[in-house]
Amino acid sequence: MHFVDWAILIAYLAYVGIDGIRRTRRSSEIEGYLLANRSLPWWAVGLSVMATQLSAVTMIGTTGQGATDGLRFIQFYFGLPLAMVILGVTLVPFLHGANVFTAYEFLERRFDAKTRSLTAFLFLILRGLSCGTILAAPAVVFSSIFGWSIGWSVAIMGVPTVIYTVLGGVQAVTWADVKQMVLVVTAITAVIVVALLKLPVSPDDALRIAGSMGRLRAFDFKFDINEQYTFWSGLIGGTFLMMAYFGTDQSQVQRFLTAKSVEQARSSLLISAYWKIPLQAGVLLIGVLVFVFYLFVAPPMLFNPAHDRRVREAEPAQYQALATQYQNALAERSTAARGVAARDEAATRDAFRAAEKRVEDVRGQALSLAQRVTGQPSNDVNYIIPHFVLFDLPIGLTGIFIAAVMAAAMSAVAAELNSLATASVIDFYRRWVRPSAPDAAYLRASKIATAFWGIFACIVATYAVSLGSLIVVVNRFGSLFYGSILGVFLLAMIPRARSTGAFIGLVAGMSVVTAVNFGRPSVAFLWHNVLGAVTVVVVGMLISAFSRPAPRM
Amino acid sequence: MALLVSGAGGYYGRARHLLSYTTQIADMTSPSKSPPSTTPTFRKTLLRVMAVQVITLVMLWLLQSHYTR
Repeated sequence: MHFVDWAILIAYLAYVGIDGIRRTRRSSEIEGYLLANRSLPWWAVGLSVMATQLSAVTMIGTTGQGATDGLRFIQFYFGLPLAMVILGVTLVPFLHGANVFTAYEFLERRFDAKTRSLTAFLFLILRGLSCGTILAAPAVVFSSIFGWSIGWSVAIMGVPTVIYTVLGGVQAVTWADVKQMVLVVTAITAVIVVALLKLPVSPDDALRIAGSMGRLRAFDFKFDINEQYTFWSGLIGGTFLMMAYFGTDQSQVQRFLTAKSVEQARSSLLISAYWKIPLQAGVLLIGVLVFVFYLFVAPPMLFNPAHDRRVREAEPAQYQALATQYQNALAERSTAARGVAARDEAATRDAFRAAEKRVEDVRGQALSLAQRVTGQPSNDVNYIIPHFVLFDLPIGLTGIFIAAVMAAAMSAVAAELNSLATASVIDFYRRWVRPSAPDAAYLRASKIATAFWGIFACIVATYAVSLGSLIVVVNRFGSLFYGSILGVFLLAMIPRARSTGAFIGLVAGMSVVTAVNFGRPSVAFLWHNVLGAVTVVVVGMLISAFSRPAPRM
Repeated sequence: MALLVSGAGGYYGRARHLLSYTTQIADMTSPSKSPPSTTPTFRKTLLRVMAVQVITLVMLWLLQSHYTR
């Protein structure tokens, strides 16, 4: 990497660190440390909400998914605007008005302590794990760039994030998020522009080529509950997932609890409703443009450089044979792609698709070989964009994009560490261990909890890289129990619901989703949220109908 | 349930907690304490949000239908 790129990266890290430490001044009591004394403006909270959701997984995994699968993934977000609107008039006013630190605290007020503790415990497990996978994404970039082990790469990313989150609390997290969000949007826009400029064909031809391979297919109206991304799973399953994530996940709830008023909290969520789909379309478009770019510039057979090196050393003859086939297939594909650009007709499109299939066949063999040699799944999709960034972007922009990947990771991880610490201290330490300790004890406990979760996330990150496409891993973790937790919050808004019903409903919802997750019956993961929420509400109401009301004074 | 909350709080602590517990239940589900209704500004923003989504989806649809064959 050029020294200019290094300078950008180091300057960014130094700036985030110094700014985080500067924020420690206003975080000397627990309300300030965890909720910024409920004083933040809506636009800062809104950008923080977006930054928390947009992680390095988005920058690496989703862009890679755009290159291999096209715009199809955008359907995942179709329910988001609707979810934000529903939350704006339901859960947000309740949670903000209740003056709570965590969303789960609210459940004890409505139901009982065991419902609160179970949901908070699920959050800790779920977020602790997903925090690790989010940290793993930039670690992939670092290991790819510098040849360091994943463990070291995780530490380089994780340690500065933990330090500024421990020292600065939610103030540091939110204001860092604002700057990081600006950097991320700048980098995405710049890469789209540069990718368009570097293509040897016009943007219209590039889109035509991508379209002929189905990369611009953003809508699939087929109703199939086994299909991961369709219009219906995105709209219905996505609405439930987004409502659960933004309305009941402490990492997001804590963002809008820092807003000055209910009105400002609502407005902060609407920023995501406005910009999430266009921004995500931009992220996927980067992948599509990279796919077109590599039709004309020969890409490596294996994007993962470590696997490439090991296969080359372990099976030199087989590697060489495949490499020769690959080069021939690439040359044919490039000619066929130019054919589509010159004359867009059925024959040229068919020739292009056949050539693409030959390339994918050879690559498939190379990936199988890599898996056999290394004993690990290759996850090559996560290395496509890092390769493009390092070898094909101009000096300066490489540094900006890598800083943006780091920014995305740090903002998401910082917010999650902050919320994990909040749930640990408020829902467990203060609730069960020391209910009436002085403020300073909770502040100290929050800092220790932040550091603990930071270390936990680093350990998970070290092993998460081999679990599969990062984006799918995170969303799978997320979908397992989100729907059930949302169901409990929905029950809380029904006056006839009782605490026993809520608890048994939650256990029933989780059981159904777990069974479905193991394929009995098989259902695509976005539908898990609908199943979980509906099961909790139905079982919860049935049990409540036969339960006595809680005693009232 | 509420008695579990204030292990060190004594009788008054427990009673106070129980009282606040019932009040807060009312906050959550009672129609008289329903969340603040939406303001004209919020409704206007909602309309804008929906307009932006519709425009984005139409553009994506045009992109797909024009280039995908």
